[in-house]
This record gives sequence, structure tokens and C-alpha cells, in this order.
Amino acid sequence: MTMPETVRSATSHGPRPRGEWTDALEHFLREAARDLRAPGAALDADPDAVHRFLHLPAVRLQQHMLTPARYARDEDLLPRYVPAEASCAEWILAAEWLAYGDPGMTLASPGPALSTAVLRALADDAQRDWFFTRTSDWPTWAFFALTEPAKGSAATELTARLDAAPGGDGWVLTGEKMYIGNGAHARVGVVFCRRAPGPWGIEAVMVDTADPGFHAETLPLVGLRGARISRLRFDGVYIPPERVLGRHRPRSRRGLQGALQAMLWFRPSVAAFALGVGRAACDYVLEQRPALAGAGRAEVDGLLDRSRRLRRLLHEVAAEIDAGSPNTFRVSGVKMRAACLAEDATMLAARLLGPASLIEHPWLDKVYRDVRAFEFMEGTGNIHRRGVFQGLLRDDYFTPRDRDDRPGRAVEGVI
Amino acid sequence: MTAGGPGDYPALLDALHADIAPGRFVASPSGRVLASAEALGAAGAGRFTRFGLACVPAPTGSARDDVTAGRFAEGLLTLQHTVLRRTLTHTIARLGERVSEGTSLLARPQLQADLADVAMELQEDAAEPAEEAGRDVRWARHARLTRTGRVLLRLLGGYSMLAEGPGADLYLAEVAGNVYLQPEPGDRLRPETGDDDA
Repeated sequence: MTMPETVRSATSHGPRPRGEWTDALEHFLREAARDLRAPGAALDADPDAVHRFLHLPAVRLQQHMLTPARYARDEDLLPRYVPAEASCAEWILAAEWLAYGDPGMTLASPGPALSTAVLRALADDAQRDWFFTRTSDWPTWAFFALTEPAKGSAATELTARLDAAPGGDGWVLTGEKMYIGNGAHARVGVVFCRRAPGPWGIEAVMVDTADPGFHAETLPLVGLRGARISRLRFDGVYIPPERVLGRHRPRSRRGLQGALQAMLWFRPSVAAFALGVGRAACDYVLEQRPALAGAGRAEVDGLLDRSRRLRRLLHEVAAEIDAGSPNTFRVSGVKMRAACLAEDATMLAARLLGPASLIEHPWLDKVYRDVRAFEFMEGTGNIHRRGVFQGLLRDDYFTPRDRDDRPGRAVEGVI
Repeated sequence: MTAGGPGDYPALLDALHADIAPGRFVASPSGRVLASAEALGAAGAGRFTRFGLACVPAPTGSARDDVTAGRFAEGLLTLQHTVLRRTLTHTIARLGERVSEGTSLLARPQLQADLADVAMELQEDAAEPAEEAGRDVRWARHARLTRTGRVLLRLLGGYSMLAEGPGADLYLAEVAGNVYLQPEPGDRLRPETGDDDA
């Protein structure tokens, strides 16, 4: 396999050309995903079982693809065409296939997770060194802590406090975070907190979980147990001045901007997870009922068609993000609709596989529970509906289709 | 396991078994029994035991006749309705405690509309005639209640995924429907969205 040099030497997360290497990447992902079904079942029974599967290539992917190229260390374990510091388009390709294998295993895998987008957006070189040298140690988990018990993920309303440390050198972090993936097992993380009133008073700080005052517990979940969703408490955790991300930037371009960047970058991932599981549920039905015909077959085909349309939209929004011209409204729409599709697919599968299908098909029962999480991950459906509405008000929701040559384009202009 | 709040679905299911077939369990059409792990003596590593539930081949002596099965199926729907009513109350209370942009989340029109839709669906469901219904009617009713429950789960956000919260009860109600109420694929079915089909 030869590959354009631009791929291997890329250190930015700009768009890369599709071609032979993306086909190879997709083939690799498809094969790697197969390895995840049995571990996913084990994780559903015991979320800490991820330690038994750290040798799997698919489990290495998250760390490698979300780590800047200069810190990535998995060159010998993964094919050369698996990019470090992946673009959004590359990562959603991986996310969809990995979730097709098992979404819980994907979220359980070590790596920098969402925090990588905050670091990319805000950190200086020293801060990147501090964070990524730690997350490059294998296995190391990291967390991204925005959501709070009483405020959800409303970034502008968070209440965790960042107060000046006694003596004036550094800061003290106090507050609680809720529904934080891998929070209780992470070595480091990024925490959003309030230094002063108003949107520019929000900061993003890097936390070492070994520091005094950090407390975490894993929450028992109905599904997606591999994510090891946690509650975090910060009882006066000392934050050295150099761990305030973007400290070299103006206050208007620090904490809040990092949160928005991370959510924007990862919302397509959640959509990709949802599409992957939705497609897996449809394929599972067809594997189990190869003679399925009539209305049942039409329902499955209809869902697969929906999935294809959403995938096209997903790749469009990811390309816009990589090109530096994201449309947040379209991202919201795709994420919300993909989450609905995953839920519809698992419910349809349960129905088509007959009475007691959730008993007879443990994998189906697992994803039936897992997909419920996609609805609220990176913002609930209602938040995204509001986002789409805002896009409509600004006449900035619909994708321009100037290059389409389908019949009827000539009359579209009369609308 | 006691009844009275989130997490008590297994206890409520046991009470239903005891009410419909005292001293026995009611078997599903596929020959299974779903009840609390405690009542079935199935405590262990079963898939549902972390929710307090177990599903086993129907023990000897389980009720299998059509009349008992029909009454149990009706009871399951009543139970699902009851859990939904309780979750609706819980959801209103929880959203009422949350303040965003200076006002209660309950002031948001979208959330008000969703909650009203749930209430209207439950009100309509309660008006279901009391006479014995066929399996297809019961399945359609279960499917409507399931969709109603999913609306509440969406409103509850991340809280709905907690194993000790109302989300687990709604999930178990869906599993019970899957085991006891779902018809065989060849059975004649009413459209699940029958409300608009008159």
C-alpha cells in the first residue's frame, strides 16, 4: 500500500484527499470493528473489563487518532494509513465503524477523548506537552468535564469556581461535574469553571487526578456502561497558573471558546456512533432473518436509506469543520437525527426478531440500552432543535446544492 | 425489594404475578417467566440481575392458560401506565428544579408541549375499555406507552441513564412487553400508530 506523503507527514487537521488510503483505512476499521463485539458484551457485564482488551488494534485507535502527530506512539501497532491527529472527517469514519463493532468499547478506550479538541483550540506548546505526554502513556484515560448536576451542559451557566489561591500564585478549583466519561479512571482531564461572572469569565483548566481534593465515582448506568460515566467533585484542587488553558490569549478567546470548539468537533462523532449502531442493528436483523420480506424488510430498507442520507450529511458537516467553516446548525440537525435513527433501529430490530428478542439476543438488548445515551451526549435533542431553528431564522440551515444536477433543479429557484 | 419509587419495577412485577396467579408465576407465550431475581431464586450473574430482575424458563406449575395470560398481560399494561404516570410527575419535579437563563426549564414551550403530549397520551390510554382485548390491541397499546416513555427519557437527559432512576423502570417495562406482549411475527397486527388511522 502506498500512500500520499501528505497523509503521513500531516500535522494539521485540515482535509486530506480521499483515495486509496481512505479505502484501506475503511477496510482496516471494518475488520477492527469485528473484534469488538465480544469485548463489548464483557464490558456490559463489567465496565472495568476494558483492561483485558487493551491489546486490540481497535482499542488503540482513539488514542492514536486524537493525539497530535508529534506525541503519537502507535506507529508499530497500527497500519501507517491510520492517521494521528485525525481530521474530523477521518475521525467520524473511525467512530462509525468502531460503534458498529461496539460503542461502549469505543468510549472505554484510553486516550485524550474530547479534551483533545480543547487542547487544539486553546493550548500553548508547554500545555500540549504537559497533557499529551501524559495521555500518550499507555493506557491513560482523560476526561472532559463540562456538565454539572444542576446546569447540564449549558456552558455559559456553569458554577464550578476557580478562585485565586491564597498567596496569589495559581488557582483553586471547587465544584461538581456530572456524567463525565471515564472521569473516575482518568489520569488527567480538562475542567470548565468560572473565574468571574459572564461568558468571558469561563476558563478551561487541566487537572491531574492525583492532586489532593479530586474525588470521583463511577455511576451505575442502564446502558453504554463502557463509558464509565462518572460524578466528579473538586474540593479546593490547586491549579498552577500554567494549567489555565489559553492563558496567553485574550479572555474572550479562552474557556468558552474551547468548550464550543470541542462540542462542535465531537458532535459529529456522536452522530457517527449513532449511525454505526443503527446500521449494525439493521444488519443484525438481516443476518438473523435472511428471508425477511414484505413490510418488515421494507422497514429495514427504509432505515438503511435514512442512514445513507444522514451519513452523507454527516460527512458534509465534518468537511465544513475541517475546512474551518463549520455550520453549527447543520451539525445540530445531523446529530439529533442520527440519535433518533439509532433508537428507531434498535426498537425495530426488537420488534422484527419477535417475542422475547431482548432475552434471546443479548447483543440486541445491549445496544437497545446503549443508544439511548446518544440522545443527550453533546447536547439533548431539544437543544439541537433550537439550534436548527436558529439556523432557519438566519437563513443558514440548508446546504447549498449548487452542484446538484438532479431533475427539478431548474424550478428550485422559484421557492 | 419494596415498591414505592424508582427501582421498584421488579417488586411491582412480583405483586402482579401474586395478584393474577397466587402462589405461582405466569408464563409468557414463549414459555418464560420474568420476575424479580429474588422471587425466582435466580440471584447471580444473569443479565438482568443488576436491575433486580430475572428471566427463566417457566418453572413447573406456572400458569399457562389463556385466561390467566390475558389478565396478566392487561396487568402489565396497567403497570407500565402506572410507572409512566409516576415518571411524568418525577420529570416535572426535576425539570422544575432546573433553572436556565434565569427561568425554570418548565417555562420552555417545547418542554411544556412534550409534557402535555405525554399527559394526553396517558389520559387517552386510561380510557381504554376494560373488556378483554386481543393480543394485537395490547401490543399496540404497549408500543404507544413505550414511545410515550421515550419522550420522558429524552426530557430527563443523562439522568435517564442512571440504573437507579426511573429510566431503569421504563426499560424493564419495555423488556416485560417484549417477553409477554409481543405477538409472533405472523400474527395480524394493528398499526402501532393507530390513533390517526380511523
